[in-house]
Formats: sequence, structure tokens, C-alpha cells
Amino acid sequence: MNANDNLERGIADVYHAEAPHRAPDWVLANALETIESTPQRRVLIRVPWRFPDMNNTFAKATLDARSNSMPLDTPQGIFR
Amino acid sequence: MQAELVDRARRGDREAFSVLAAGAVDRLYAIARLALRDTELAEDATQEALVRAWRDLPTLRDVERFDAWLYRLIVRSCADIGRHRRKWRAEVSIVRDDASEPDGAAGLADRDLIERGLRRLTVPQQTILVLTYYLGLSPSETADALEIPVGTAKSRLHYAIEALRAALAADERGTVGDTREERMA
Repeated sequence: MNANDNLERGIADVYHAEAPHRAPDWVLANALETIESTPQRRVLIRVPWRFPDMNNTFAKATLDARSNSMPLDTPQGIFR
Repeated sequence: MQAELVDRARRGDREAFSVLAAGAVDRLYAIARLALRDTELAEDATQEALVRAWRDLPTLRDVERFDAWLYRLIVRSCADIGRHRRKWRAEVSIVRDDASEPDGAAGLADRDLIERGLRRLTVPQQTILVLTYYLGLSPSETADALEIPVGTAKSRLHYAIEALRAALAADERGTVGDTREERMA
């Protein structure tokens, strides 16, 4: 066993001797109280406009659907 | 069981989260206490990590990785707090002096000596030592907790040990100046 092993074992010994076994109760209580008024971060789901393994039929159907819906999104008069 | 709780908490169930938090708080506090070597700062870091966990839980993709993810959060909280504290601490420079390095078991087995040496390390140095020697994480797990590449984690661990060795050597010589924190007291 060399000096490095001794040092590493010494560090582990110090940590295990020093580590507190319990956190003060109020730490958890305070955190949970804060959480009561903390909203969770919302995850935005990104829907790809085209899937990589999209087959031709599905791709055509998607394009058809997009082109059919276009007039609804398009302000009147643009294509006149 | 835990995965189910994580999934429920992820979808906004505060009761499920409180069960998870109760199961993790002692471990998180121990990590913070050892990394920061300060009771009050460790309490702050633990609270902050738990609040972050609740807030960001919906972003956790794999519920099985909840524990590893918590380690990331406590490491971040300790780092944030450590940055504020750094201005009050002098860092130990790594100047090796092999001739005066404490030799073998007699010097290194001395817990008090090591404890004093650890106090002279920076928070990032302390943190990687805690993850490795207290939690027993592997280099890849440590790298994951620190959000750095494995090679960087190994290198950081090496330099942390070197810094500790230098602090021990300096302590034995009695030539290390007091930290600014001690001088301010």
C-alpha cells in the first residue's frame, strides 16, 4: 500500500466520520413550504413538422392536410 | 416504487415529491456539509437543491436517473454558494515539494491533519473528493454529477488530491498563511 492509497483511505475516513447523519428538520420543512408556492417548469413539446422515417404516402397526406388548411390561416385577399 | 413517485411528482404531485424529498434530504445535506464545510451554507444549499428539484422535475426524462440528477442539483447549489464564498477564502496553490511531503502512514493517517487540509481546498476540489470518496461514485458517475467530460473529472480529481497533498505538506511545515477568512476574524 502506497502513500496515495493511505491518503485516499484517510479522506474517506474523515468524510465518513464527519458526515452528518441527519439534516435539521426545518431544512425539509422550509423547502416543502417554498415548494407550495413554486410552480414547476413547463416542458415544451416540440412536434416535428416531418418525421425522418415518414413514408411517401404519409408525407403526401401531411402535405395535403397542410395545403388544405392553408386557406384558413391565410388572410383573405393575399392570393387574389 | 421510487420511479412511480418520481413520475407522479414530475406531473405535479406535491405529496409524492415530499416523500422523495424526505428520502433524499439527509444525503443531500451530508454532501453539502462535506463540500462546503459549513453548516449554515449546507442548509441553504440543500434547501435550494430541493426547490430546484421540484421546479425542474418535469425536465427529467428518465425517472430511473432521479438520484444521479439530484447529485447534479446539489453540486450546482454548492457551486453557486461556493462562488459567493470564494472571495473570503484564499486558494491553496499546488506547489509540490516532494522533499517536505509528509511521509507515509504516520502523516497521512492523521485525521486532524487531513481535515485541516480539506478545509483549505476550494469548493470544486472538495466536491469532487466528496463525490468520489464519500459517495463512492465512479469517474463516469462523478463526471455526470459535475456535468463535465470523464477526462476532465479524472483530471480535476488528480489536482484536488495534489492540492490536498500540498496543503498537508504546508501544514506540516507550518508555513501556510492563514486564510483571509481567518484573518478577517
